[in-house]
Amino acid sequence: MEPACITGIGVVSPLGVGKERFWEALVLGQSAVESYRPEGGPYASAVAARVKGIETTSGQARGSTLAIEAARLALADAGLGPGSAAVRESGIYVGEALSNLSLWEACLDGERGGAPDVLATSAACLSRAFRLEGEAITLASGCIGGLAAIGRAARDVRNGDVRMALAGASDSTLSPFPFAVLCKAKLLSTCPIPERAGRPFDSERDMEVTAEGAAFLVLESASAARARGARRLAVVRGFGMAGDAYHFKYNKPGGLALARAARAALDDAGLGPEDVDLVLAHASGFRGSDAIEVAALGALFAGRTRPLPPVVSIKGATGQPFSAGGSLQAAAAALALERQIVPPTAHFDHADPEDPFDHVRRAIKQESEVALLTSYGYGGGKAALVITRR
Amino acid sequence: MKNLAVSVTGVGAISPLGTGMDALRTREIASRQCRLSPTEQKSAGSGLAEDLAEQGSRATFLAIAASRMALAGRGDGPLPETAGIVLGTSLPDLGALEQHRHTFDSQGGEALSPSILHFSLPLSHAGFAAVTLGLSGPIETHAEPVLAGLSAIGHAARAVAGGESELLLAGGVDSPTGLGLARPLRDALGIEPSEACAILALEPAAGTGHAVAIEGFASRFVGADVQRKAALVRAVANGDLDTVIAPESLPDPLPGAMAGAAAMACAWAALVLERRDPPPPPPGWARDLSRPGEVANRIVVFAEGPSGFAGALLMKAARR
Repeated sequence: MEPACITGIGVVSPLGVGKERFWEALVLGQSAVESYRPEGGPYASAVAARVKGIETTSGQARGSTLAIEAARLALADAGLGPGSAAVRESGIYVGEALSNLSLWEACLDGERGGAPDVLATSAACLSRAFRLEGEAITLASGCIGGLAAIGRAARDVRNGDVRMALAGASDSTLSPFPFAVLCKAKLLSTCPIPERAGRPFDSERDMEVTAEGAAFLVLESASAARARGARRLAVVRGFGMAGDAYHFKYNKPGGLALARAARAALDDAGLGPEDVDLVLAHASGFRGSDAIEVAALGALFAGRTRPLPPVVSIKGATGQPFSAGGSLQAAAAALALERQIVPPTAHFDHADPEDPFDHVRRAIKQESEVALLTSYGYGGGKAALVITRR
Repeated sequence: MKNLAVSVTGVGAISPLGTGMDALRTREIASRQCRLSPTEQKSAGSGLAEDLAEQGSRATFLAIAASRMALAGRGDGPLPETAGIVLGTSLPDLGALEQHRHTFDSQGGEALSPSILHFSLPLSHAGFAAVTLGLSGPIETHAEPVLAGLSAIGHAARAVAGGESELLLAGGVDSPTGLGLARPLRDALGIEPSEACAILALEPAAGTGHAVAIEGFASRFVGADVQRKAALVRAVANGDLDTVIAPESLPDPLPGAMAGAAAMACAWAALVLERRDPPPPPPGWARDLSRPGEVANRIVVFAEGPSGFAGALLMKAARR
């Protein structure tokens, strides 16, 4: 089996468009959370994290527009021309959780009328934009869709089902109806002060901050990357999934399912908990779930002889862009390994006394070879991905 | 393409033709909706802490009921820890979303139900099925319209073959009937919407002794090009091929069930292979790939979506 190499990274995030702007803001501990008061309010939440400088293409869901821009950046970063044969044969693996809510909404409104739009997933829009003719998968698995799309693409690259894949996710929920739905579901932070809303792992966290964004990776088999002289930025080594068969919305206390997903991903990579240098966690500042994630990681690393790895969440900086959260985590992990820097958890101030992990208040230089990424969400699914430097 | 070795160890199917595999032979169809009695619907949603029985979408009930059928042959023993579900569906519960949106427009956000996300999203079906059936392995939802029902099965087969899970329920469901969107769907797909759900239980082939196996899967863009479709089928068949089954091979109204129809075509192929029935006629473009009248040993199930992407799954009669 050939490893699946990351040869391109494209990021469209509230922190900035392009991987360099994203990474620079992330390392500085900046946050894109700001006041947000859409029409039809007042709503329980008054904060969000938006992508600036990208207008939604007419006739497209915003999530699809963000996806196309992120994919374009990823291909450019990989040194691939959009019309090349390699790109045409590339598979497209997309996660989307809530993005199409706005598309369906528009269809209900009859604003865009045209029937095919009802069925235009981000994968279909991407394939049209870049004339992609390989495998096409849209995973509507909720928040875990972003990590899962990358995990599935990496598996298919490793097995030789595809030589190259564009894999990632895109989501946008920043219009009144989805925002109202998320508020009513009591998922969002009610703290009106942007600097204090969405605080992963912080003992004073309340809930998450909704956000939009997209990130895509170019994955290639090692031989395909070598053949065209592409840079290997990092390698996707393993993927694992599990469920806790407990509740549709809430994680089961103890977090054993997430620990199982992480172990499965490490097994798939031929590694163990001892090898992990860095964790890019899902934590969104959600009161109960962050603690369960800490418990899951505690169970995973129980008995480890090395010091515990730093556990970082980027959602204090980016907000919670649902499935795009997983693909942004993957972009951050690849950059952290490439540059040997651990970015901080923005908005993290007050450590929970029971929490054994360092969630990193300021970026640290650290030699890291192996990053573990975790994700979970609605529907009870848990996912984990292992990315290595070489 | 990697060669897969996965057994089909159970099939659950619900459609307007009726419930269970034998219903697939029915030709008396009175409705475009599944025959799921109120009692069956209630039983599918029983045992949940959530208010699923009152608010869950029909597609969720169909998925749970068909999953139970697919598992029926296993008895009451515990499921493997890695047992999971991979489900394809083309649409969220648009009828419910339309109602919620109307509520929002007329009464504002405060009047919305707090459970909209539980019951209206594509992932609701797999999510609730996992909670209801006690599945602690992978939970995944494929959403490429129509194709999702087939690609869920193909990707689940890859996951089982790769050792990720010892048992995956895989299939498709759609319930797009009775909506304001029936016309747009008709225009987009050229078919009348109907509902259906089919779920296959997939396990590693070694030692199961089951009659039907999945040996290959691939998907790619074919557009409207018949040559490309045939090339995809030939690539997956990898040599010998008896026939092609597609949603269009199924009796009306099943092709209108989108991802449900794609999965139903796989269920039908399993039935043909297990019972040695003559296969249904393939769609027009695939006629020259088929050998009509012979007992089928190797069937390729083919499904394509409105975006021009198609998938092909090789199913085979296994030696018992």
